[in-house]
Amino acid sequence: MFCFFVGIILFGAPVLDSHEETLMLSTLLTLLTVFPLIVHTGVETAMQLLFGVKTYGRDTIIEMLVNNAILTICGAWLGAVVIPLDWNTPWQVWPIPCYLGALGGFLLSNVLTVFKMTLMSAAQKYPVLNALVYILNRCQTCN
Amino acid sequence: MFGHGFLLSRKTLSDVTECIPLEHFGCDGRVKGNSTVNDICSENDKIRRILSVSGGPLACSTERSRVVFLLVDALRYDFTEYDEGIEKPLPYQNRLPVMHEMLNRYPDRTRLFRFMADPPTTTLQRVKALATGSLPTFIDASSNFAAMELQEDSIIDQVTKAGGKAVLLGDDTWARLMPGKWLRSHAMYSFHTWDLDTVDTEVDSKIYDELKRNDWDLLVAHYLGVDHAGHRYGPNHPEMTRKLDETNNRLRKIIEALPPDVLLYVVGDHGMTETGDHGGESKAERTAAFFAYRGSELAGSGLDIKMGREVQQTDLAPTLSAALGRPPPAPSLGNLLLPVLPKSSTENTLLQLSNNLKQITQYLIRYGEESQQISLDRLAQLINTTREKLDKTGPIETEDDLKQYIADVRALVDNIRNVFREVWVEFDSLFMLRALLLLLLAIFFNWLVTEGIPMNRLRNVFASSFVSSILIANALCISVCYTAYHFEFLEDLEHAITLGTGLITGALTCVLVAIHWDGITQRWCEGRSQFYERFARAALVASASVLVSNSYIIEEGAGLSFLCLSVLALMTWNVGNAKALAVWTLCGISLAMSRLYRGCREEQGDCWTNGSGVSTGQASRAALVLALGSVAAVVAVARRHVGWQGYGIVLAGLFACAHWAVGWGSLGSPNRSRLLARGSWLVLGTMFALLWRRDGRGATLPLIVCSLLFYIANTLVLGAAYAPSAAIALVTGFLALNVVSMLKNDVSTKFSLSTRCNSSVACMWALLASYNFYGTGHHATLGHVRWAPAFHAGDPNYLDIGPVITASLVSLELFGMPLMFGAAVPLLALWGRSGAATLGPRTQLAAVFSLCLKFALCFAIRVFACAIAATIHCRHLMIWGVFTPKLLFESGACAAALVGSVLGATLTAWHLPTQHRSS
Repeated sequence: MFCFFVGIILFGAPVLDSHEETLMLSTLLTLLTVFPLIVHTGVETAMQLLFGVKTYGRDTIIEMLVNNAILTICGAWLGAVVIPLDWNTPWQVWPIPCYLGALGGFLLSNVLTVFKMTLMSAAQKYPVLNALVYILNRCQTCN
Repeated sequence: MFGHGFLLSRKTLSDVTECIPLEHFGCDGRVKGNSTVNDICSENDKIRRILSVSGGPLACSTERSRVVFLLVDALRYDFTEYDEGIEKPLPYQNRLPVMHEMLNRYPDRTRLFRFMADPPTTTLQRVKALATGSLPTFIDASSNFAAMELQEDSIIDQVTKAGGKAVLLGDDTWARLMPGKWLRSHAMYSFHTWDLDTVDTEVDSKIYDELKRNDWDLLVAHYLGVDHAGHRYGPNHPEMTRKLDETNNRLRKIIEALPPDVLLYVVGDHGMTETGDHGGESKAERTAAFFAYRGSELAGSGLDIKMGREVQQTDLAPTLSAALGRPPPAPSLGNLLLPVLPKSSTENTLLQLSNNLKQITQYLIRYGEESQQISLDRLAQLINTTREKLDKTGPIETEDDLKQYIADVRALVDNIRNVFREVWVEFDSLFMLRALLLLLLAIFFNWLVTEGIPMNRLRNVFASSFVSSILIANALCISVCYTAYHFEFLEDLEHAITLGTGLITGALTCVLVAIHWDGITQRWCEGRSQFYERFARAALVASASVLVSNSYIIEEGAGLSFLCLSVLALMTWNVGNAKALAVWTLCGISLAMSRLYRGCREEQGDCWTNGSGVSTGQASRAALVLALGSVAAVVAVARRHVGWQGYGIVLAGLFACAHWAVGWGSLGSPNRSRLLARGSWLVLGTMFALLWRRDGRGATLPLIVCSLLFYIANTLVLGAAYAPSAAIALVTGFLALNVVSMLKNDVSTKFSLSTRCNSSVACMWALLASYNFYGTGHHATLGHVRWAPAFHAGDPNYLDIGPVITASLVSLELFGMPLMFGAAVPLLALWGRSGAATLGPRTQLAAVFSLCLKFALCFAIRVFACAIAATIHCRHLMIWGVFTPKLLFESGACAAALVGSVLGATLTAWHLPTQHRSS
């Protein structure tokens, strides 16, 4: 959590004020990314997985969790994009867009996983869908 | 070239209109010599005679009245209308009933007109226009670019010239534009747009006392409340009602207190949109109000005095000066507004009209001499018609003749003004299009060459005669163009050369691409890049494309640091060990520290209004200590690692430190401090010359020394307050270099070279370089240009090359960071254990060359994006405030980066081991 906190500040969050908000964001990020992994695999493995030392083989749940983590952080990163715009809307205040982005990324990642699962199970019935599964898999290896 | 079409420029002429008092004219209408013949004739006869002499000088009118000039900022015309029929008036309607009452009670003493402003409708430009009667553009190409001060003749000049006195109350824009011309001036700082009342109450507290006095001829009072209420809340808000009611009461009291012979002009300098902003050219922004009142009768009749007639803002300057008994200011292109002048004799009116025409003729002639913006034929035609009109003044006797004549003159002046407006206000779209196209082509080919041609082939390109053939072809092209120009085949030399060289270079590059087509296609097919590489390119493209949005430009410092850090983070991810993580964290910390030095621009509301936005220029004690410490640390570290050249750096650093210490505070002595700064420059220059000494140990060391030298030069020009930020930039660059050198290389050094010459690295470097423009406390606004470094050069008029030195120092101060990073580009390839320094010289050269090209390409892309943004938004509200300065600064940074990378590349080429050169 502290790492997230420092990281967020390095990325340009206000240093001296609104500590509480930043802290909340880092808590949220921890909760969404590291926490499930640690619960599932334990601290050592989780760290190894996150930093790409260990690959997750064919374990779908761990794969899902790692994907979740990555997409959540991407979402939070993307959320920062709207902050400087001058629309003067109340939700543009730091760190609301980042919250929303993180949640959105998490959601998207989960939806993707569910989608992939259904596709794969459907592909066992209808072999036509195999091509789609192949494409999905390829996309993930790209990243 | 783009700039040529886009930046509308206007020559500023420093001429001043002179007029000769009527007493100095003889009865024959010529200027008397020293003879003291006292011939008696009536004044009217004398004026008649003066008018009949064609080409004579301007004569001062004898009728003078005093003027109260009340500028209510952003007084839109419909604020002043009064309509009893409105059931539910909007917050801004029916709020100035005093004007309505006066118009009904004294129809011959009051006038109310629509006062049409020319874009840009910002206060500064409007005040200039009102004072000079001209059409100000964004940048007036004047002799002295630095000062805010108005270089042209203005009404205030005219008043003071005749020994009159002017008093200023309110907005300090006037005081900044025309300093030292006021009898009394109570100017208030005007940029706290959230403060609705301070300036207004201050003016109110002074103006009634001033009205009682009679030692002034012109009283200027500038109220800001309405404008600020518009900016803060918009016109449809109770605050606007309050401000307008205040204005109403104020006007009532002023009219009561006004002596009968004094003219009162109440003027809005521009209107506002429905959201309360201004600056553009919509009807609502352009239509201001003009209310005139005098205790006794005003001139004019018939349609001329109809309420709501449209008059131009340029007309105010000649009118005001005529009311004050002076000729119009030299650059004025306005018409006399007779309906707001006191009633006077036919002769006097004619005299004023002819003065106006004579002044315009003079201006046309002078402008034709100074600038070629308007074709000579057209100018000559205009001058001739004006002269004809002048000659027709003689036979006018009756009222009807006079009316006819006035109408003719008005049509003529309108015509002239339109001609000038075309030149000054409209963009040259053809130029812009061509420039954009050329830039795009250049970027495209550059991209093809740098990205497409594989590294091992690039080597061979250097060995072949390609580069020399391009140079020869271009030289040939230029000479052909010049010959053609000489024999008058071509009319426009500059265009021909640009287009010709562009075409030839393009064609040759095409050939190059065609020859290496197989290589390029091959590379594309096999190309599967790492994620971080793609991300880095995407980040650069993103940083360029957000330049289309004004809010991103305003916050660009934060955005760039965000992107830099993201790119670096992905690179670290790619490296994937704890050391890289530590380096990344340090890098992040130094970027975060540079946030302290980031400036604020006035659009960034909260940080600007804190008052910290205005830098005082004088460093505090802590800043001094920090600066000395940072320089000392860098110098000490550098001394250990760079060998004998370190001594030079230490010397230069010592001089810099001594310069600050001696010049600091009130105790310091500026002269000695300047001497020390010059000593430091001398050492830097010598060191730079010594850099070219070959020692055959590869190019890395000289490059490091070169960037260190640039660092010290930067700290020197940045001054003590910002010097630590330069150190932070240096550290950031150093850490980023380390990250790059740690990048995962697939198998061996050979592959690592291609990794490190990747465009993503160049993208990252370019992002860092452009971030550090902000990191050193700059901002892309003209107001943020700091002129302090010119101090090293001393008095610019002392030497012939003085202005050149001043200009180069100031631009070094602005763009020193891109320059430093540009010079350090080759280090990206050469730095570290797995760097290219161990490889053959030609491979090194090719690597460095391609990196430099890519670096320059990144900047070119950003400039291109800026130019596109400026084109898209050329009618945008913030075009003058945000986009145009950004374009200027970005091209400056691009040029600096280009110079820097060329320097770095030559340095590398120079220092390559000579014995291998032929291989």
